[in-house]
Amino acid sequence: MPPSCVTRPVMIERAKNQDETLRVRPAVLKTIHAHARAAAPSECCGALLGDGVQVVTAVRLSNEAERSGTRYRIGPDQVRELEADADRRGLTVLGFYHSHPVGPAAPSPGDIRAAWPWYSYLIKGVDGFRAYRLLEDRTAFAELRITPSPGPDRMAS
Amino acid sequence: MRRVSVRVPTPLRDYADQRDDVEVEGETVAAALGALVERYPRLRRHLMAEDGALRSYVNIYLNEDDVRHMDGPATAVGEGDVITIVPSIAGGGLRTANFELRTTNFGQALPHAEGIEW
Repeated sequence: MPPSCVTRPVMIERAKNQDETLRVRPAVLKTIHAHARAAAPSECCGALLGDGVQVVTAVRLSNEAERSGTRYRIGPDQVRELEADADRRGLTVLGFYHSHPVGPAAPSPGDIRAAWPWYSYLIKGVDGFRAYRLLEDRTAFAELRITPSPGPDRMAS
Repeated sequence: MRRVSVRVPTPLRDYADQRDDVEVEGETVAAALGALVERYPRLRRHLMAEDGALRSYVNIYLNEDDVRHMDGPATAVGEGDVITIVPSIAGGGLRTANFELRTTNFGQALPHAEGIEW
């Protein structure tokens, strides 16, 4: 059986540390919501930039995946440009977001295979937003609590 | 042996003593990365598959060039070269009938309207 046909369960655990939260300004979630609606039926994707404590802005990125209705891909050239842009603005790339236009905000097997540790992954699904972080052993995602924090989207302000 | 500098991306710095730049020795990109994971073994599973090949989402630049457009991991390095590890970000995938989501304490999604003024 080719590997793509193998059932790979996606394990999700509650983050062990209760402080495992993703602090994000509501205006940023609104920006992502608008991006997801505009991109549908394709998945949208972008980056979460923060000041070390909270996500202060979202950066729209181009979905390079061929089957953009069910996949997303942000290639290394975009990532390098993003890192340089964040450095110039004194911000840090805290993670990435993408949308599931017809599914829930739950990670897919493809999401966990490709995930990096440390980054927060925010998913906008038909049921709302959820956020995850890969465990170090790569066996599961920890679900993060999303905490709206006050302030405008820095990009939009 | 040539000394090269390896730039470690932010998500992997927890596994490299928080260093963003590590000096290693080697003749090729593969040898330099091998020296890196030997010094910081917790990096290995995030950079390499079980057979030692680089994972699909790991991109390696030698100075300004993607080594995929050179000789890949076998690309020879020069004294003082800079190797940069750049993540690709990807995901998604069709949910099939045998897709299984196992979860513990899976909470409610943050509804669109909760705490957000649209």
